[in-house]
Amino acid sequence: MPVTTAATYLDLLSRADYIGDDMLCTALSMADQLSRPLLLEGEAGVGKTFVARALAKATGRSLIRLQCYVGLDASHAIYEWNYQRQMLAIAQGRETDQAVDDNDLFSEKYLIKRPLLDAISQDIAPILLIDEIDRADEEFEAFLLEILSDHQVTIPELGTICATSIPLTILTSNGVRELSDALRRRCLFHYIEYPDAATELRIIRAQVPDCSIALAQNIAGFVSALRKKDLIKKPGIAETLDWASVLVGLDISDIRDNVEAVHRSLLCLLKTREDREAVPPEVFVQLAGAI
Amino acid sequence: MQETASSLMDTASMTGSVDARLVQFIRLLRDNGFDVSARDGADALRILSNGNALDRHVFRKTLQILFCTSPMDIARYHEIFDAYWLGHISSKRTLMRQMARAPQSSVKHSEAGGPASAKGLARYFEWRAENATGPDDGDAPAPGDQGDTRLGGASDITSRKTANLGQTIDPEEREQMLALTRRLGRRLRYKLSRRRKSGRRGSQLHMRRILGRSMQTGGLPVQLYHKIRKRPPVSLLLFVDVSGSMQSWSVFFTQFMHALTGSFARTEAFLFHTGLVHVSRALRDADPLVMMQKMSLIGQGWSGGTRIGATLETFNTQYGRDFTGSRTIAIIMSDGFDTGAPEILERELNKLKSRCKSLVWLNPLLGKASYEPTSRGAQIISRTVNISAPAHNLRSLLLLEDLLAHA
Repeated sequence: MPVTTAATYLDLLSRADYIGDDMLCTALSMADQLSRPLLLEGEAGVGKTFVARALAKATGRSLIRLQCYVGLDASHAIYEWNYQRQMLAIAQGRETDQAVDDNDLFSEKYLIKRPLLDAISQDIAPILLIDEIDRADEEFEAFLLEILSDHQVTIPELGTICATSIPLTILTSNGVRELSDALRRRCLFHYIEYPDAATELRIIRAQVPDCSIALAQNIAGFVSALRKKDLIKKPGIAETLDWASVLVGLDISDIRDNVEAVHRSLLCLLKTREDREAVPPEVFVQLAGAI
Repeated sequence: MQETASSLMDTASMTGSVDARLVQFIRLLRDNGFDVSARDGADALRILSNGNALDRHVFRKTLQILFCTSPMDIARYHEIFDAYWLGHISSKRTLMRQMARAPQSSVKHSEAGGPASAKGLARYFEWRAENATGPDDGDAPAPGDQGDTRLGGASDITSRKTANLGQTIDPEEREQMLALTRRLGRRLRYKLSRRRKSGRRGSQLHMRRILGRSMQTGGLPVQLYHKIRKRPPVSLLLFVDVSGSMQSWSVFFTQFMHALTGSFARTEAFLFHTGLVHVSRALRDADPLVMMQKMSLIGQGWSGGTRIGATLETFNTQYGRDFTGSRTIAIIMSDGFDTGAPEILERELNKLKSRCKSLVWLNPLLGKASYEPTSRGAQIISRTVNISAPAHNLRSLLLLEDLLAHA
């Protein structure tokens, strides 16, 4: 099997309009070569989830996504027995005087595959996205350990199911809570920072093609300056793209031209009342003027 | 000229294969608190063997992705990488920490024949510093600066006292620091629980002493002596934060807690992370190794998250009545990073404070000159406790002795 280099991933991501940096592509390449999961951490809105989507789109591999939340358990993430069908089978066996064998009752026939088991049962290795793992309970991390390190799932009634193909697994975390060392140890790690103005300019150009170069430069420069301010929620790339779309819709060619309208549109970037109050029109003019 | 990993090693005047250098680098990272497994090392070699990671920047990135497991690791990783692979050792804290940690009795310059001959990486750096021929020579510490201190037998304890507690790995060094901690514990016990001398004032006459002294004056009680009520012994209530942010400190603090438990008759000890674990019984084991084994079994959630408020609430509800009193000094050893609700933390801290004689916060981060308690948890704790003291090295713990004596 040919070695997938960082350059390969750079090319793949750019084909899906994702502007990745060398570090991210090196991490993806290593995850692929070593068959190890990749943990992506970073502020909300820096494009962690989009990496998996872009990879799936560029490679044509299926994307299996597990969105984590408080209370997520093995029955929703790995597998579950189809109790209704089992009960029907037992009832049917009773009517026909043919007792159902336990081995038959707990076979793959009655197994409902949830995303994780589904991901290791594919013929062609999919992209497995375990999104916002920090939102799941700590106990849930323990369920993940076996599948992440050994690519297998142990079902007490059935035995161990080994992966038919090893998915490229990407875990994302916003740092809501600290992840366990056991989980971190099993993963490669990459922290996605906010992009610099030049990278963000390329992202805007790729994602909002209607946006002119001059406006995209305005936007990238302004957002970069805004992130240096002491805000509760700094704008991510997703917010920047929303703002760019809104400004294109408002037919703005330079953010310094129509200050009132552009300042109003800042609600795309500033998501809390405190942050809105921290950037009044005067501050906006100051930041925009410094671009 | 493109600088490759191999050339980096050549310029550092090192001998041996990439594998050996990498293994040594991994040991250095482990010494500095990185959790690098054998699998990580094997994977690093596997990636390097593909031949596409020999560019300096790719080499650095590859190892970073493998060996760093959290954002906090990254800056430290680059510092250690520069120190090891590029020879930027003298301007970095890494070297100084390593040198401070070197067991002095075993550091002999005559034995320093090279990195492979050294027992630890501290000696490797010494060897590097001595044999450095590059432009960094000027920055290398003068022999007298570190060497005199390190080689002197009498300065052994001083060095131990100033070594960073979070960096104690060497078993021999740890044992010596533990001995110092035990001594500190004994001294604390003496100062805190010693009886007051009988004085000239008091509610009761000290008849035995009056009669004894009156013998000098022919049986006439010229001088009266009084009995002063004996102070009840101080009891200690210890809380050690063993969450992820305290990873590099928690082991030593646990040993410190062990030493205090052995020195004070009335000590109750708890570990906390996202939950509270009562460990007094496990700490009573005299053998520190057995004690640490028990701790690791007991401390489920070790190096996880932190919810100080919730754990204190558990304490106040379940143990507060039995383990607190007017002579109880509660000591919280934590960096103050808390992921719980701030109002719960403040409420429970105040509750604990009202039940104790004194509430002390030992913060290892306070030893840093640039440190400011910016996290909400740290701010709440610092304004609630009676005493807030640094605990980044043994010297700071010795200062604590005076603080506690007057608590």
